Amino acid sequence: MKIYFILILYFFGFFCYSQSQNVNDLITKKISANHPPVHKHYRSVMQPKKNTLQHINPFNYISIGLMFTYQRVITQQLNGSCAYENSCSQFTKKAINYYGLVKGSLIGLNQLQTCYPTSYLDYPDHKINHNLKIKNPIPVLNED
Amino acid sequence: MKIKKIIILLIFPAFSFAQVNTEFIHHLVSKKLHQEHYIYLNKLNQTIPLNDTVQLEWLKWAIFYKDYNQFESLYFSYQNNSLIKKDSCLLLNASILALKQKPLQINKWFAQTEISNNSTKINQLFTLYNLSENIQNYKPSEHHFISENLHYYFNEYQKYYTKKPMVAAMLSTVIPGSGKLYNGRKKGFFPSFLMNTILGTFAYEAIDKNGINNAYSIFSLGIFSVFYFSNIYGSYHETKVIKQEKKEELLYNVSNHYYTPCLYK
Amino acid sequence: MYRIIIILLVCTNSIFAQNKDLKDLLFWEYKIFENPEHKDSVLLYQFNKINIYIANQNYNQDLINEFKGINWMEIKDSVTKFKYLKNLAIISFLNNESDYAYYYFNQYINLSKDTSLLNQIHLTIFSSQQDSSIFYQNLNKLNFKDSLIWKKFENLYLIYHQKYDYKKKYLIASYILPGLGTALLGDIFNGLGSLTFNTLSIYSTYLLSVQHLYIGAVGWGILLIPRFYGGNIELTQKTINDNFKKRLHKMSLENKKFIDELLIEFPIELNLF
Repeated sequence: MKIYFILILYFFGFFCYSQSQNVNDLITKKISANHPPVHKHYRSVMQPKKNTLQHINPFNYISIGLMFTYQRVITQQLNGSCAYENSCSQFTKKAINYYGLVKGSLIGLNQLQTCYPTSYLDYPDHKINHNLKIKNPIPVLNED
Repeated sequence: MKIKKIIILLIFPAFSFAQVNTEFIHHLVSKKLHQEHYIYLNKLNQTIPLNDTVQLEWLKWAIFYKDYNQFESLYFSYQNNSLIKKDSCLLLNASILALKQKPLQINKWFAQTEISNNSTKINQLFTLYNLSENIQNYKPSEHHFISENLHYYFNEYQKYYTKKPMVAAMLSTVIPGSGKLYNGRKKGFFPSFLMNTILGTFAYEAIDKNGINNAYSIFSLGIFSVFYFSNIYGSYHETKVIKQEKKEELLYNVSNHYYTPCLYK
Repeated sequence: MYRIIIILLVCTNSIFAQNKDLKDLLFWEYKIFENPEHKDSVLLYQFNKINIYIANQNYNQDLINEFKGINWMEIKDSVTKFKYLKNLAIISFLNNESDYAYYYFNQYINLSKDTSLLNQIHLTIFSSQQDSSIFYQNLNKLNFKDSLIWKKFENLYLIYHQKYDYKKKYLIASYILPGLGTALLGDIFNGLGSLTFNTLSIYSTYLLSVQHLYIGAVGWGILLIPRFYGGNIELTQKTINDNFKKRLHKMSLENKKFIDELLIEFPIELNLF
């Protein structure tokens, strides 16, 4: 009896595993997928790393709070587009996470000073994407 | 008898490939049937494992679909394969892929001197890579095989390799934005210079009329100082970044110059 | 005991049928490669490949490439030709090629002369992204007496050809008083925010000018006031766009229910060759 019970479970699992995609369901999904719901894209909040000093340091939380208010409240009220792929605030966030608070903020503000419509002319072709925006990942420096 | 027939039908496939058919592989590649291509190579691996031509086809597949890490792991496991080291097109395209994808252990590939003697193009590519690692040794009169187009990128990299970050920082203390000119970012000089001068005038005017103990003067001085120091540190940091950028540009152009689509011809 | 082993062997073979089908793809492609000149046999092999894709419910771009490798004018058998056209129409619709979907389905109906209600309904669904003349021509052939159903069919077309309302009054309101347009459209928080930022920037320039800090007043005024004022107008435009998209999403949800019920009565099916 046990063997037949196992066989029944085996068949049942086989039928459950095979998910059928009906053509009718696909067509209805296709028609409704052209107009998806409107979602507001909120960028992730900066967090202190696992270092104990960063958890204790109050300036860390001040910078997190300022960045949060700027990105959620103030950016919607301003007009303008960035010349870089990663906006200046997003770049400073990543730089702070990688280099630390002081260095990261200084590097981010340096990018803000060069954020100009024709600044892409300073960069080589493979650093510019199809929207004429400069690709700016965090530069990892080699130990030369 | 019936059981024997059932066993034969279940186990024996309708067909079997005992030899590598390179024309069939070219047919699959030309029709862009990547799924069938992968299945065919897997089948060959099962039927005739440890075959030199099968290993060669796996390497070509890895390069064609631009997976250098897989290529490297397969290449170093097929050390006894003599066909691979004779195929100059495969080795050339592999080194070009290494230059474009820039894996961590790129020096492992370019340290193989036996490959460099395979053909003139590969030899040139290896010498150019070694030159890029030791750019101080670059002299245009000694390397005649380098084209004019590539000479330009070598000269640029050599020029920016000798630039010093402290000089850029000192220049930007005197004139804000001049460090960017030193680094080659000509379009970035004017906006940073303007921003720093405007913020400086705000701070100067506030301190001149209201003194330093006023809230607005502290605020304007604070903003000006932050932008000023970011300009200095940014130009210091950018000299290091530009060295890497020029090297990447050089290797990108070298790989485009030497690229030849000859894998499946 | 032996019966159980055989049953298990058969079942494992069917569970791993997908791997077997992928190997069959290779088998048929090899046959095509061996005899490229015999067109009738090549067609057979190509149809066998297509059947494998359909049996595995794999309706992606690879399948369309297989279809496009066949010249349907050269198919002699009319039944296979009609199957080819109908299947290609459905699969190109699933892959965002609605123009081709309508073209091939129309060809299918013209050649087969099968003007049944089922085919007419499917043709109207495929023509929803086409020109208004084409869509209404097909819709009027359905001869629906019930106007509600006629309107629901019309919604299929209107979703793709909905006219965008510029809603100038809200933009004018935000030009007059920053934040009013966004607040009237429903986004009160951002409306209040734009009002506060605009007033703060104007007030700060006023304070600086009162303290005789004219350079600062002019400078901060030029830096802040146009940016916040222009941002306020962009925000109203964004909320208008978002409201438009929400309306379309609502319409698409209503249509989804309608099409679900319709396709239960008049289902679309792919036929194997």
